[in-house]
Amino acid sequence: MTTGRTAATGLTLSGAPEPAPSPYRWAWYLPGLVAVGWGVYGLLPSVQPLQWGLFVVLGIAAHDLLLAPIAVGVGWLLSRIVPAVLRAPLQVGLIGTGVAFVASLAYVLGRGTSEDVPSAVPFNYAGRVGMALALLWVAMAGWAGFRWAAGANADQPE
Amino acid sequence: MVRKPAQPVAGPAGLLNRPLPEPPEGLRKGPLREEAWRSPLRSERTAALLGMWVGIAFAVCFVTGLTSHLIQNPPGWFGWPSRPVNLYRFTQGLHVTSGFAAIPLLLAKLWTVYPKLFEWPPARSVLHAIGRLSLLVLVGAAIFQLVTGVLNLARWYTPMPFFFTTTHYWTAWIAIGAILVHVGSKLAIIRVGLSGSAAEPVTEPDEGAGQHEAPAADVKPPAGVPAGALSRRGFLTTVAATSGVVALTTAGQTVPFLSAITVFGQRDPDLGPQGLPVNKSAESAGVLETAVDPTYRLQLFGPRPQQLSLAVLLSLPQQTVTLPITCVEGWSATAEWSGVRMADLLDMMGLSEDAEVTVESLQESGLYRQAVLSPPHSRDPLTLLALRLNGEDLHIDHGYPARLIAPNRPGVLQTKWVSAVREL
Repeated sequence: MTTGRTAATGLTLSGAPEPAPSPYRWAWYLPGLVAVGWGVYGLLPSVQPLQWGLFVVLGIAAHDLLLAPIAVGVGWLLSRIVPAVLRAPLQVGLIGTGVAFVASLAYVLGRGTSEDVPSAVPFNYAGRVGMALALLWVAMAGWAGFRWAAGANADQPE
Repeated sequence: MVRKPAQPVAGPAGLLNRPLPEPPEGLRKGPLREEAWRSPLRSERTAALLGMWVGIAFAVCFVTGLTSHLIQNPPGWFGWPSRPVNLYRFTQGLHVTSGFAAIPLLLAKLWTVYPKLFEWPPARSVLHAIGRLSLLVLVGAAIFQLVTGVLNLARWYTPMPFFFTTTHYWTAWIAIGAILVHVGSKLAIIRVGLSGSAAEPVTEPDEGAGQHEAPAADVKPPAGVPAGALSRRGFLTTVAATSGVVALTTAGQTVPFLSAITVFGQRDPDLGPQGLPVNKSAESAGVLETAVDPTYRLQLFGPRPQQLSLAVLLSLPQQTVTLPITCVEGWSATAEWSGVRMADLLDMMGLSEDAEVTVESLQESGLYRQAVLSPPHSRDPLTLLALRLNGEDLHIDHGYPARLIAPNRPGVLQTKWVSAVREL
């Protein structure tokens, strides 16, 4: 039998101690573990596990080592070199741009087009994404201009 | 912040929860530093709300995807109705749209909890280490599902060294299971986050703030938010709006009035031969010659076997129906189909009302070269062996000389270039 010290609790994102686990957690664990087990049971005879695992690891790495650091770095720069009045419009614009880039990349690269099925992936995706982003940035520029003007007016002596 | 030690626990649980030696403090550099992550946008509330939205999007994807799988691979207990006509169109359109809508939600959720990746110490106990490693399954499966789904819609299969359909289906079980386990492990903190009683993030005043004070009308940032930056509510609103815009600009492939603003859709519902998209061409199916062979005969295998030429088929009573063709890839388009009612053909074959048949294609190979047709679809008056589309002979890419069209059924089961109907 083992007794003695137990590990300290962790901290939440806000820096507070994590609360004790819920007594109802097993009601989620059980169906969850069954579903994971069922998925693994079905997956193993269907794929080469190493290929699947490599794809999964590359996906995690692409996020954790590339996308997330870029987002964090851009946010860090934004909070330091961009005037306060421009920050929120830039944040919204950058979030929209980042999502558009990630969601449209496979379409824009156009590797799925084929001559015998011209109705598949038929659009000029780069043009459509560009148009959407242009609209977004025009709106953000308008918002930033409004904020700048409002800030300047607030500075006027009465 | 002082960590509160948990109560000692006896037995194996106590062993698993026993504290591991802390690594040297000198290793705690860069993102591992306590003060490295200061954005007050990251909080229990942000994480809980984003997690809930991601969970809802994945649950919708899972249920609709499972439905599609069961329709295509029906176990004995499963039945799928032939009405309402547009039900599958709705569920599969929702599957793809919610999948795309999940992309910004998942990215925002992962950004919010990114500092946890650099938690110190990396492992407080064996149990803690297991919990952290299990997150690899959750994050990996979730990213896998969205990436493979997008690649499939973009018809870019080269990066996937596996059969998409099977792998996407089984990984969906892993993803949804991992989400359930994660919710269970975070239930207490989720409750705190959703109740709005979460503590404010521990932050320090931002040095760069205050040069240009923004008007306070649109943002009321909590302590630590750089002046003029998005508040927590502003961030969540931006993510939700982005997700909504992505959904709207995806749904155009199945909702006609949205097709003009399609950005992430795979199809224009009006684009293709005879104003209808094509998924598999006659060339790729290898039927360019056999489909136009003048000796073509439709073979009927049943109690009264028959061979019918195209001229004979055209001389039979013709019906015209308006039905959508609905692809498993989420796009759909409505068209006017004319041909022989399948129920009439089954009667000609001498089959009973509850008989099942296979509808076979001129294709010599391929996963979808034949499909099972059962009641209620087989006897639905809207189910046709279609010979004409929008008032013209079928285009060869739409299945000339004859194809199956039935209500509320995936496109891959609407066999093209039909060569035979066989009693099961």
